[in-house]
Amino acid sequence: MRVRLRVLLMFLIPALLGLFLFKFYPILLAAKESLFTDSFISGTRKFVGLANYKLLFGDETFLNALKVTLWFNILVNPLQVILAILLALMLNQKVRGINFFRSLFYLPVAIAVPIASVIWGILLNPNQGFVNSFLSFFGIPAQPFLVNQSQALYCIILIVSWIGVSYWMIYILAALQEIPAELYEAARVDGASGFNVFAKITLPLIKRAIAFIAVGATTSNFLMFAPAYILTRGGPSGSTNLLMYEAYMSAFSYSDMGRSSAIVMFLLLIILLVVLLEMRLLRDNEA
Amino acid sequence: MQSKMEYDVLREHKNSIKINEIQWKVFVYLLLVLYTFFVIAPVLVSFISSIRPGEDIFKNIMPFNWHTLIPSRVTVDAYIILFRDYSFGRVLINSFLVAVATVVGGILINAMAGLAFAIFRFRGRNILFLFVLITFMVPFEAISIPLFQLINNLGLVNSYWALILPGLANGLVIFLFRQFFMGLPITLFESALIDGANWFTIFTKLALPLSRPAALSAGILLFITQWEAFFYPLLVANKPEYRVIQVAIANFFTQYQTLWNLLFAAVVIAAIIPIVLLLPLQRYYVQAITQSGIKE
Repeated sequence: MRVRLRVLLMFLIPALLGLFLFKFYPILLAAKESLFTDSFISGTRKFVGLANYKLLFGDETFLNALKVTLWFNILVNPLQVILAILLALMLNQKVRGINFFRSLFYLPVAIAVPIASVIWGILLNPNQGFVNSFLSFFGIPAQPFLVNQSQALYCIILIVSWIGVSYWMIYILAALQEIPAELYEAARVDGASGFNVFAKITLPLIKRAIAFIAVGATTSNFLMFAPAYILTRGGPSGSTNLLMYEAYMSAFSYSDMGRSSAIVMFLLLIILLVVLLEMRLLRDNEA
Repeated sequence: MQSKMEYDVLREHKNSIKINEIQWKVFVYLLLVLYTFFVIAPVLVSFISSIRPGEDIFKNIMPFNWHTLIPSRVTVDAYIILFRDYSFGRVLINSFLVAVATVVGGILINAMAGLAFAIFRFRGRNILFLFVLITFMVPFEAISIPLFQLINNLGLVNSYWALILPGLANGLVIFLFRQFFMGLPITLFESALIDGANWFTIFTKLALPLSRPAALSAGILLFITQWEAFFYPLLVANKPEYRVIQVAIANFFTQYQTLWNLLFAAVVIAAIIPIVLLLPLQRYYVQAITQSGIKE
């Protein structure tokens, strides 16, 4: 349908202006900012080209944060995706009371990462926490958890996966429920084994949903910030210093917008590369 | 004779399938119960601890016993103290104000754009829609720091505008409305035009009321996004007057690490609002978020 330009603009401008100003322009701003440096003495900004990026790669703090972020993501993303698939498969079974279980697993959607961090921060308290109390019941000695250099990052993986797995499960379960029951019945008549049914029927049909949650998990986990900020302040000894926290510290504690923007741009680049890789790996082969 | 044997073999086979099925069901149940315990236990501990006196929590934690989890005294003091001494009412008002304003404004402007993309024909429509799709793939956390700079330059830091404005336009919500309006017959709008209605009336009296299912999906999505926002509000609204719930709780935790019953009460309040919304609207929420997984 064709309409007058005035009408068209009235309908489109508010939303498109909002998207441009608050979703798109900030990326340009970060890209620009990463090429400048603030000089405290003269109070002026100076164009420095790629110097902020070059500095990062000689910067021990940044390199450690990069290592921590990569290790965190190598572990947390496959873990969340695989558990989400397994959980969705279980919740898709036809056993009595399954609807009760299903609705329980929507519960974590209502819990944001900061809330999860606070809950687990208390539960994992090294001296008087519930988890240590629970472990002592089985005769396991008290653990330091978040205050220990070699345990803290794994605790954060546990915390973000506690809600993450249930969240990503929703997508897989939705995809599973769209598979027509006749397909399974036909397979059963043909005498296909359980594993064969999964590999030949279920998996190809939920591949797109798997690709989607892989991308979603990657994006949100590379940008994970709240647990490092609330629970560990990047410590102990930088062991949980995720890049997003480093970018935050750079901007708001050291007032170095150039470095902070360079870190953010670098993070976006890594995410883009990993997402492209995942899409390639999980692409529909048939299409 | 042979057929009898065949029958026996077949029956045995069938029985073994049945036993396998039962074993499988028991196994699935067991795993579900275990994993459910892992998911639910922290929530239960939070709720139970929020309704018992602070000293009771500490007293019963070691060694692990029934009183670690089952309260002997029940009180709502933690909730009262939270509102009376820590201005939690203000925090809730802030979060509600920001979330509701985003829902109302967001539904309006995104429905308008969705309608335009669905039924108007104009040059550059596909390019503009591609732009919309790209923006909803840009993670909000990644742009929060530069967005802070922009808001700072506009002089809006520590204001409701800083929290509401960036949340209004939403690519996914435009997409949801576009999908919905594309499903309506175009003659509906044509006949309204012939009847002499202008586009403003068509939108407010015809399109918007019809789009109830899409609006419910969009509304709950926008509400939960704002309710759970943390990083960006932490940057632009850290003054106590403008603190939203996630920022307030994070702040409270770092300041008063040992006030466990108060912290748990705050956590329960922060989680109960989305739960109350999700119970009746879960279907719409799932539709909203899974739509984004479906490409055209």
